[in-house]
Amino acid sequence: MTCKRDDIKNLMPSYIERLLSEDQIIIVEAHLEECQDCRMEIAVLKMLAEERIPDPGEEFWQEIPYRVKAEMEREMTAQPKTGACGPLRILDRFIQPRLAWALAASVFAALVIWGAATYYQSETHRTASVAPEVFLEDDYYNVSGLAAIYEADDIKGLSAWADVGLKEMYGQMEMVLNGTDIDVYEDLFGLSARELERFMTLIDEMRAMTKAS
Amino acid sequence: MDNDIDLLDRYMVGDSAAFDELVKRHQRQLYSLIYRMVNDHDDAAELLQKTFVKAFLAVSGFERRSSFKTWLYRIAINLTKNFYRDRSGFERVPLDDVVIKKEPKIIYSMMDRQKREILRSAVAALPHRQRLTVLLRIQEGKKFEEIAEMLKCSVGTAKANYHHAVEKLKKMMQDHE
Repeated sequence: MTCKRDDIKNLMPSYIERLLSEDQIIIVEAHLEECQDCRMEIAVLKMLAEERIPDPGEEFWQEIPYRVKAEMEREMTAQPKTGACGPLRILDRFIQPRLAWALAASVFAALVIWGAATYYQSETHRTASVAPEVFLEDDYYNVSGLAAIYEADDIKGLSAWADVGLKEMYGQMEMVLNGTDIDVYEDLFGLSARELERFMTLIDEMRAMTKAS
Repeated sequence: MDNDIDLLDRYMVGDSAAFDELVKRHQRQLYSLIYRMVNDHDDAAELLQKTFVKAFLAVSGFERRSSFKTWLYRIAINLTKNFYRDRSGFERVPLDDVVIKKEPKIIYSMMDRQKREILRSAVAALPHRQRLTVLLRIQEGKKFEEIAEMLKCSVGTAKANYHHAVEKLKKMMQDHE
């Protein structure tokens, strides 16, 4: 039978590490005397903690920095040259992943908003220009409206790009919404949950366009 | 003694000694974790090397939201995960070949060795994140906050993974008694 004393179980790793206070040790050991499940758990944890790994030797440790440097040089030599001139190399250093994401998000947002604006301008019941954020929220807006504006090949290309180019961003948006990860690009934090959900819906619809056509 | 960030800054302006120091500072703990996952010296050595290569080649992308050590651990964990995915199974170094030869002073009784083999198999059978969590907590002595940062999950998730893993290990050991 599984013991429900989470307070004792939470202390077990520290008990094995001999980091508990005298009072805590007394509490844990008193419980162990009467709980077979926890005795089993301590036995398992002790065996795990006692597992030794073989020492590869001092020579191995001394060699690692040289081996790493050699492999780095091989990889850098094998990479195709992107540009020999100074400014291009500086760009390589400074175009961080999050900047590229921000650019991708901006391009996508611009395409969607421009497409929606064009779509609405053709609708007779819309006479005034509407702010971009309302476009995203508007019930009348849907990605299928783009099909009326763009050629089929353009739609397929845009959808294929969204499927691959925005895949990682989509995953990051999910993580921000679920609150399961904090190490995402800062630009996504600037969006509200509603905006994130709306973007994700748009991406889903864009992906579906290719499959539907 | 310079902290990791100072050494990193020095490395990025071409200080080779800073590079050596960073590698020497972290190589043993990284090797320990990787070895516990792959149970083979050659594979662990290769993955250790790849971890450092990947880290230093991508250092301009290190945004310093976590410590350099945590970042190294994350790279090592990802590389090890990919290593498993690319291989049908891992090879464990037999106890006789490793423990007895390299650490002759450690002698296990027959039953003790059997129990340890069962435990190793049980650990190897755990889902990847549960296995990592229990190894990081019990064998590497990491706190749950550190584990959460390395595995990019919440502290609650790390604790839950740990407890699920321990319950499974207990059950597997009990089933073999």
